[in-house]
Amino acid sequence: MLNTQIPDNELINRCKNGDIHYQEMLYKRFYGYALGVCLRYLFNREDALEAVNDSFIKVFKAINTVQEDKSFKAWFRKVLVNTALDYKRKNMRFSQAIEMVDTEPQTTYSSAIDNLSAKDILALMKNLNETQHLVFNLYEVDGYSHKEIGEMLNIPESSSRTYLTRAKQALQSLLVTHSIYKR
Amino acid sequence: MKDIDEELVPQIKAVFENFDDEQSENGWAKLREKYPEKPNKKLPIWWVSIAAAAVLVAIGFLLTLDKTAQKSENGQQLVKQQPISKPKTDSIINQEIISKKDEELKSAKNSFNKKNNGQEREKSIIKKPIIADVKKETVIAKVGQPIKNESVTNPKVAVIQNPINQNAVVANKVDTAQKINTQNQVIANNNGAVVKDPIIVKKTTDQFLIDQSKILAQKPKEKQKPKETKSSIEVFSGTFLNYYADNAAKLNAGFGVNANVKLTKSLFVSFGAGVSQNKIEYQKSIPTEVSRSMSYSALDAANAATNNNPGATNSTSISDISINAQLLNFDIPVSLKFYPTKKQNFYISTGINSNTYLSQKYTYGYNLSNKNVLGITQTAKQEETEKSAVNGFDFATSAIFAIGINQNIGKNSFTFEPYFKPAIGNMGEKNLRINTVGLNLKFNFTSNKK
Repeated sequence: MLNTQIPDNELINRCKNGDIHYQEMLYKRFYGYALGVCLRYLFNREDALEAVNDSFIKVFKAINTVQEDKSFKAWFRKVLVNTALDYKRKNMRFSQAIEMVDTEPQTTYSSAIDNLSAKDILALMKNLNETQHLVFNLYEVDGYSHKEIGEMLNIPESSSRTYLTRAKQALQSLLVTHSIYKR
Repeated sequence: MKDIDEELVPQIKAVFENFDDEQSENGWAKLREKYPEKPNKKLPIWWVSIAAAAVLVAIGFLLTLDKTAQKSENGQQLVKQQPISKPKTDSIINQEIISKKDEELKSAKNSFNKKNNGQEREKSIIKKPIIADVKKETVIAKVGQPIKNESVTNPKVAVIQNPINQNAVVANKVDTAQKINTQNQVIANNNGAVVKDPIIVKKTTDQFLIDQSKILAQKPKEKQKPKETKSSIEVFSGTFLNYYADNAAKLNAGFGVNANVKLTKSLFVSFGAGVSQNKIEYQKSIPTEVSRSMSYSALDAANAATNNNPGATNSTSISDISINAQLLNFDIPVSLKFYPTKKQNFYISTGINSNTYLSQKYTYGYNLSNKNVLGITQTAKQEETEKSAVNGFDFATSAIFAIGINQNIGKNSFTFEPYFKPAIGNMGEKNLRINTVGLNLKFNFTSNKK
């Protein structure tokens, strides 16, 4: 049976028996989605792949707890975000050192927002500082509340709001500076 | 900001939701390097450490035993020698010597009589109870008191004037016929020491009779063989590691009492009771039985809210689950012990262990995620604890495989018993699965009930 022919719920049920074949199928089905989430937080593909694989290992081990009537994708996203943040915390010093070299403002964007590629978006995000970038991602893209973000990043809820506002201002400024408009 | 909220954010979502670098094959190959994880190597290291500690304890114990044994042997020699120098214990010495001499004398008399048929008088003397006096005379000499009888000039008698510990050896070497001669000479010449001291003679005769009766009373006890062991009681304490799959192992301890009842020469049935602390952690691998038994009250509450207000949330899920359980068990082990050797210095044991619980505590943490209809997901860390007291009885929760090495201490014995108890059933309210490896130290009180 082809990968695409098994519905998600059925595939997850089969993975509950620990069958490596179906685990591989699940991996390949959600690989792109998982890598996209982790890339937004870690920028580097190698780091993102590490986080993706760690997340899948967690999923395979706890897959018995997934309830059929619940969204696997939402649960999986949670695992991915937590794993990526953990990875970032563990490698914070290293990533900060890299950032000092790599955080030059990017100037090669596409000319329209809806034309921005993943690479363009990541380049834009790199212009934000670490916390602004995390808060923007967590709040705007992944749907966390400021209270949750405060708990996750160990910052006050009000600070999370401030970081978000500044992140948006910075991005708006970048869009204007680099003449990125809706086509 | 309008560009950001209305255009950039949807673009980011669209791009990364459908992201694919078509490297899933490589990604999977990389994941397979880590998953499934190799068996946890911590356990064998623990086990080796415990085994090494046990061996060291055993060696130390054996060395101590050797020293004790040497001391006791020396002590016994001293004890044996001491009474000989004390006149108070003459009667015991007399008994030993007399019994030996009796036999030797009888055989010697036969041979002697054959050789000396003409000496009827001497024969009659020997046959008479006065022999007791003769022997007492001999013993008196042996005790180390110089024989005062001036007529005793026979060098062979002089030999037995030496202290008794030497005499015991020398006297045995003396040819029986010579002994008869010596004694006859003593009898013939006993006008000196014995006759001069009539109290001794009288006392000796009476004492002899008393001693004889004592010998008769004591001998059966001395010759009595130790009775065969039919049953024994042993107390034990042990340390052990609880683990399940690749979760971290937890160190625990327990103690108890066992009864061993003999079925055949080499087969015993052992049963008992013990109390043990059992901690276990499930983090990497959670048994299905356990995860099904867990009640995530926060999740239930969230689900209930969803049911009551379907518009409130559209998905609730949990992740990053870890479970810690702490049980105080009352263990009931039943096993068969097989001793492969006649010495019964080690055994192989197998059986089952059943449990009831004095207390149970379960702590579990997890992340609870709620996603509402607007697509906003909220996550909160949850930690819940459940406690319960005496609750239920689980039959055959684990199998027992053990090897016991006995070290005798007198009638009792000390046993080192490494064991492995794989889970064959569920334990406690949350259906825990626990494998155990450990080491019991047992002290066995042997009883001699027939």
